[in-house]
Order: sequence, then structure tokens, then C-alpha cells
Amino acid sequence: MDARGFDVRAAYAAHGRDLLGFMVNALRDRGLAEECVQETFTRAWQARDRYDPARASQRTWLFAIARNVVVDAVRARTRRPAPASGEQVEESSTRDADLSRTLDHVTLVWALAQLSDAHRRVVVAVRLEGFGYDELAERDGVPVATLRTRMFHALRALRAILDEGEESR
Amino acid sequence: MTTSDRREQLLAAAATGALDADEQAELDALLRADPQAREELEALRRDVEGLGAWRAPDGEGWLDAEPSQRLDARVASLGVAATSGRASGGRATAAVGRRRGRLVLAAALLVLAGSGGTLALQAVTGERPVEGPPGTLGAVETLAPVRGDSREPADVEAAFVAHTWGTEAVLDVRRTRPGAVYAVYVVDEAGREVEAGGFLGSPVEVHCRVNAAVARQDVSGLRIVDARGATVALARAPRV
Repeated sequence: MDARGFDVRAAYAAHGRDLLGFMVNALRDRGLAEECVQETFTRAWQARDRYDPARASQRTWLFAIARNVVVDAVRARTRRPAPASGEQVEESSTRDADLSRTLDHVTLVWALAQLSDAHRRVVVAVRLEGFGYDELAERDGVPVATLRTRMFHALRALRAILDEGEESR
Repeated sequence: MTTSDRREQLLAAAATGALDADEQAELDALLRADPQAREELEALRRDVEGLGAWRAPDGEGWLDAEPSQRLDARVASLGVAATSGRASGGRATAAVGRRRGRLVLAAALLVLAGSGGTLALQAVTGERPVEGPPGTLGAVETLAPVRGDSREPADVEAAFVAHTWGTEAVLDVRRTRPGAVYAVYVVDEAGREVEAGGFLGSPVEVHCRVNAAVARQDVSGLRIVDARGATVALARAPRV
């Protein structure tokens, strides 16, 4: 273990699954996602001297590194040769807009991945998969009132994560 | 009076558009009695609006993923690298240094990742690098890559290291184009290409190690391609 307490294996055991969840959902490419997890821990090790536990938890720090890794991967994946036609400017503009939307998606997934499983489950089911609370209650065997309470706290947690991420950029 | 729990449930349901008529009346009463509830509702609605950034393919929700054994092994080997005092990893890292030393380190890391304690201890303490004919677990097997038809620049030196869980390719690549994307494939005896990883071009020499889930005895070679799929370098490996 490092003097500052960064143990690669322990950190991977504690956060590796959630980091992979972020990357798989952000990239939709299992192989690339696993590479990005490995790259995250490589960068974390290389930057371990700059990690300050008083400023952020190890989980927050790893997720911050992970977001940078995924953004790098997205940019690399979308990099294409410049078109040779006169439509170059228009195509470039479209590409930039597409990249911007993809990066917004990455940020959202990054925040969702940091929620608890129960909170993420209700947000994803109700808002992204189109389940009604009644349907979800029947599927998961959880009362509607509980699901709505979870949604309330999940949205607040999501807001806090995104606000903190915005400040640290 | 609305309890705290009921307040949260009403606000969440309102923000996600799930109130029935009776609940809507209950919410209206709450908003009249509690000005902060209105602010909270507006904030929740903005949170819900932000979920519109979701761009998964139609019908796909959240994908649950468990790390593969290959990823476990890769990160475990990174931990070993840490304890040996060298930062290293299975994915591309740019570095400048002497090839031979890095290859020996790579062999040591590979053995530690999964081949057993005795060999691992020997490798890490530097007692004796693993040696042997092609296919020997942990031994570095130098390849002789030839240039392909890609227009991307790259001078490639490559080696294989056999492992119990697959085959590792150790690469030293010079003269790459910064930002260019390179993908590495291990080719099996049937000609199938198994992706082992990739790297970006860099102003400095790229040193990286990538892994493929193909046993060394089933491997016939290595191919590196550019973003267009053109061959940057190709190497054949002897049959073992």
C-alpha cells in the first residue's frame, strides 16, 4: 500500500464494478470499457501522490479520473479523416454537435453510475425505460410509495454529483 | 398536514408526471402551504429534464456489467507493478526507455498475474528471467514485424509472452502520428483476429502491453491496424 493509502487492488475491489458499469453504459463497447477501467487505475497509480483524501473520497477521485478516460476514448473514437468535399464545414459542425451530445450522455451516465443500485434502478426504469411506478412496483415487489421516495432522493443525489463534477472541472 | 415522507413522494411523482387527480389536489394544497416545496419541485423538474441527455440505443436501459477475469488479472498485474516500484499497465503508456529492461519487466508482471508463486517470486526479485522456446510461460518471444499498407507512420518492435490465460503482446512503437488510433489484434491459427487492445499515437515512443484471450499454442501472429483498418504492421509467430 502507498503511503497515502492507495491500494490498487483494494480500490479495484471496492469500485471496479461501478467504474465498469459507467464505462459500459457510456461507451456501449465492452472491450473498450474494460480497457478504460484499466487505464483509470493506471492513471490513478501514476497520480497517487497528488491524491488528497481530505479533498475527496477515493471513489470520487477515481470517478473523476474515469470520466477523463472515457472522454478521451470518445474523442478518439469519433476522430475521423476530414472530408475532402465542399461540405466539410457543414459535416464538421454536425460532427461537433454529435460529439457534444455524446459527451452530455457520458456525464449523465457518469453521475448515474455513482448512485446506489436502488436509486439508479428507479431513475432508469421510470425515466429512461418508461415504466410506471405501478408496473415497477409489481416487477420489483417494492411499494409505490417507496419507489417515489427513492426517486426523490435519487434525483437530489444526481444533482449533487453533477454540481460537484461541474465545480471540479 | 403533509408528512415528510408524503411530501417527498408527491414531489417526486409530480416531477416525473405520475400524479393522479386526487394527488394533484393534494400537491396543490402542499404548494400553497409550503413555498419551499415549489422551489424543490422546480429543481426536481430540472433534474428530470437533464435525464434527456440519455442516448442509449432504442429499448436499451442500463447495462449491468461484471468485470471479466481478464480485467481482474490486468488490474492485479498493475498492483504488482506498483509494489515493484514501476508504474506500468496493460494498456498504452507513452514512455522512453530501453527495450530490453521493459520486456523483462513485462515478463515478470505477466508471470505474477497468474502463473504461480515460485516463478513469480523469481521474476520479481530478478533472480532469473524466464527463458525457453516459443510458448514457454512468461518467456519473452521477440517477433519480426513487417510494414503493412497503412499510411500511418509507425516503427514497431513486438514480442509475445505466453500466459496461462492468453497471450500478451509487448510493443515498442516509434514515429507514430500523435492522436492517430492504432488497434492490435492477435491472429489465431484459423486466421481469426482477436482484439487485444489499442493505443494512440504519441510524440514520444509508445510502450504498451495488450492481452488477447487466445492460448499461445493457437496463435499464428500479430496485426496492428489503423483507424481505417489498414495494416500498420504484421508479424508471424512460430508454431508451438
